[in-house]
Amino acid sequence: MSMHNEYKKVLGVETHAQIATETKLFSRARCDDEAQANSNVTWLDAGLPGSLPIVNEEAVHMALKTALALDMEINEESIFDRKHYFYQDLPLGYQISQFYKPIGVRGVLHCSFGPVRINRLHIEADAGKSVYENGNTYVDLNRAGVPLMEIVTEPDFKNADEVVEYLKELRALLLCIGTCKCNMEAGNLRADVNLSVHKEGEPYGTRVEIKNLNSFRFIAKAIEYEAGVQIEKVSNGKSVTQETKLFDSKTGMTKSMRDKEDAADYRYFPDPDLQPVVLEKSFIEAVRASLPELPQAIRARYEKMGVAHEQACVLSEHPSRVQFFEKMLSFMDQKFAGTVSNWISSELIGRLTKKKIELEEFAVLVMGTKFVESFAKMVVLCEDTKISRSNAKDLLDILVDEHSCDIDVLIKERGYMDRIDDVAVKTMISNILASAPDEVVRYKAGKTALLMFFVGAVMKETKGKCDPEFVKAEVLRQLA
Amino acid sequence: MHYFSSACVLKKVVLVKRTYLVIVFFNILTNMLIKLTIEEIRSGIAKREFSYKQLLDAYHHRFNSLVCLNAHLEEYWEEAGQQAQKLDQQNNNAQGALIGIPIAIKDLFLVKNTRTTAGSKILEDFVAPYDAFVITKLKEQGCLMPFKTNMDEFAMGSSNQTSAYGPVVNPWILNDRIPRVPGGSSGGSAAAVAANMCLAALGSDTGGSIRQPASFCGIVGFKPTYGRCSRRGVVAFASSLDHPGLFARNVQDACIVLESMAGYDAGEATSLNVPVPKLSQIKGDVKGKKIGVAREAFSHMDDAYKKQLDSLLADLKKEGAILEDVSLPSFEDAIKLYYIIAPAEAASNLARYDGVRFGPRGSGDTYEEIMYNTRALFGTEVKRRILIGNYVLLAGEYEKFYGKAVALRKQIVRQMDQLFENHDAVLLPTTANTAFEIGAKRTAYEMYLEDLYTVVANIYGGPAMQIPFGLTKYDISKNSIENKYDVLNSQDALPIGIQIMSAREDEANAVAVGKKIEEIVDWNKQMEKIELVRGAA
Repeated sequence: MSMHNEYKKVLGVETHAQIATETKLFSRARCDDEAQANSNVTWLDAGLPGSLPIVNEEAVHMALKTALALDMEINEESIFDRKHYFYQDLPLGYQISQFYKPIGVRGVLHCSFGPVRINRLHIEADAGKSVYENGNTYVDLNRAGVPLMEIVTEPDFKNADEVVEYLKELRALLLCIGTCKCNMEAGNLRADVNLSVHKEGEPYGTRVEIKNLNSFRFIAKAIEYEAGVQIEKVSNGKSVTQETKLFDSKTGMTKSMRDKEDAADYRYFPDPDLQPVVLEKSFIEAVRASLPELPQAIRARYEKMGVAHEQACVLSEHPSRVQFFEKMLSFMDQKFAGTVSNWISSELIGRLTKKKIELEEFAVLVMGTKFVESFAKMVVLCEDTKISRSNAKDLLDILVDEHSCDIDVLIKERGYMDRIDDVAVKTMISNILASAPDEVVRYKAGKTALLMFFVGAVMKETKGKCDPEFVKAEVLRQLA
Repeated sequence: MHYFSSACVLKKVVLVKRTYLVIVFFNILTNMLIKLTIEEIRSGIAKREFSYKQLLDAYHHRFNSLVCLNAHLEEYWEEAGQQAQKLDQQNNNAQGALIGIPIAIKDLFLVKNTRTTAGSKILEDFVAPYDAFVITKLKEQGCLMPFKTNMDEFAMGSSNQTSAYGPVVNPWILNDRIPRVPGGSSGGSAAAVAANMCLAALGSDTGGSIRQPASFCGIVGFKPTYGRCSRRGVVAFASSLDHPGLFARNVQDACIVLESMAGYDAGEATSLNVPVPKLSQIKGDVKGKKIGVAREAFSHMDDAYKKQLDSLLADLKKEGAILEDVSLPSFEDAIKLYYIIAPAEAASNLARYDGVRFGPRGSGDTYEEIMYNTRALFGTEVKRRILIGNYVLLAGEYEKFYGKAVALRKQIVRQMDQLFENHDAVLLPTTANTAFEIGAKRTAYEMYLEDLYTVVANIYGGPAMQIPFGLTKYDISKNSIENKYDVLNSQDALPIGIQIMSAREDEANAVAVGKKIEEIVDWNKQMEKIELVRGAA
């Protein structure tokens, strides 16, 4: 490990984010991750002679929105180019992309470790999918022509943690503005990582590209592994070759791929079937003005309201989470923001994790039910000590299962608010202490553990209809 | 066991005599019907002088007698015949500008459920699953499509000799009986229209592929403004230069067909979204029109051409045209940039033919093997252009070739725009020479020069029309041209043509000038004296 410390890693990220349009970039076929193979394929998607592309304006607008959210300079005229290579799942023999003039250049995304510079954002059409089975190759063209945004950073990362944080920030941003569904398992968001190593003060090393990483865990693992390989090579006097690698999640290793796109020369040129994409200044400004509050602003606002930083990050990760949190707050005074956030982060998410459901999914599920109001009321009652914390937790258990439960009815049924008044409790305590003189003596002799024995007796006597904290304090007072 | 009673024999003789008369009559009728214009057909049908089926049968008869020209690839006379019968049953109530008009289709256009080969082996078994946009439009106007025409492979060629299905023979068969090329790439369409096998035919023009064969075959070829006719459903050669257009035997027929096939297509990003001018209503007129004459280009033509040109220009002047010598952008530069941009786009457009999804599939166990073996089906000329195209697009060569060509193209477009700011039309030769012999030895570069005068209009994107205006004696030394617009009774001459260009979207001016030239020359009247394909039929 000491050897590793001499070397610095330099990383850059290219992200392919599927633009969340209904239909493909140049055809009217639907974008559907789950459709039957080759069921969403037009003549163009199959590359038939005579078929022509028509730009999906929605995709361009979403890409523009993303570029603006990343604070990029917008090319008022951007151009679609053809990128040529032969592969069985590339029906046209070229990919339509933006090479010479992308829609966005020079942006930034701020992370905790510093700003990440975005080199470019361009729009391109995805290729199809090759499936290998029983020695045969099958081609599924459902994905052929699906719109992607390629977001390329400068080499601004020093380690895997920074890369993962950037990707999480990017995901939160894309989700917030609604331009990508970011379902990593479905391949909506795929990252290629460029990595090189060098000694401090020396020039950057040769970079290796690790392709198609589709989970944060794999990204971290792949970077660690590949950095190890490169450092080992360099420190043994060998050189790193510039190449493209794939990460094998089973072995945890990166391995060379004979890249289908690794053509000697892509022979880019502007697609003559398409006109330049022209965006009026006024249109760009209108889109900029229509951007919603972005995750970083949301986070700052929450922190000001008293939400802990970590929790603010968790809540701003997904627009459904934000919506859920803000709906909770709408039922109470803003001063409870921190408390509500605690309840969500520790209690609710804990319960959802056991049920293997994400907060944002749950939020969507309960948005139309009584859940949010009940949960909010419950938090306030607990905060006002109208119900005990342990009772509140029991209530949350029920609410998570029965979204439509009315909290008032539930509390009434369970008698959580039929509290015995404090004077009666005090009398009860003195009675119990009087009926157990031996224990009182032992307690006073130093066996303080008996405190809980007294509290338990009182709770039993009152059938839990009092606040255990109050009982504890009163027992201590009377024993003093 | 056959036996003939004398009565039987007698009957037979009478029958033969009758049949002979019928045949003679039929031939006369056929020869009359296949020469009618669209307007004459409309009026003849209205007056019930003949039926749609009779009209189609006349063309079919002519077609059958000229199969040897190899102008067609697939034929659909039966389907067309059924349609014609239906039209007759509808008692002339069918609506449309082209009801019952037989139009042949270059095999570059996708016609649903028919084979579309683009003249290539690589699409040998490709059955089009949809209609090209212009085909849909033409069908809506009620036209019949009895056959598809032979062409240079992927429209790459100027003589129809690159077709995978054999060369087309020019119907102008002279006394020397040496078969000549019809020009290309739309050679089959040009030959079919010139030989009266159909009334009109669709073609495509990327560097002259309509105008050059129209000139070689002595007919009208019309390439409208870029984007006027949709490219959707037309097998692509070079997208930014491809112009669907057509052939006809007179300008008015060409206008009527063009009006039907032109128009905005929301499914094509480069389609022209402006109304189509009513070309068929435009009269031949040059009065007060400022017409540029590309004197430099004409100076290279031979004496026979020049002589007839001079009298044409004199007549145009008499009609009130203001003629002015103009200089056009360098034809040599134009041809060079054309042979960079067109192959570049072609190499890209033809990348899709890998045997995976349609067409014949080459053998092999891996994608690479299948792709190589499939693409081996391309002919030599197509391979040559793919190589040129891929070369000029290489990262290291891009600026030297493609980048320069695009810059030069912009310059030419600017020059042409300026030219048309002050001129209604420009006259220039269509081709530097007349139809040459099939198999004549010519280098690829010599062949590329066939497009010398035509590519400018593709680079610029404006309308260009070729009109036949005279004949050049095949052997000038033997026959001197004495009369103007000399038409020879002996078939010892080939047609010569002139090209009319006008500003983008301004088909109207090209048509007005074209109709006037046609009037002056009275070409079709002269053509009555000429019997084409005498040798072949």
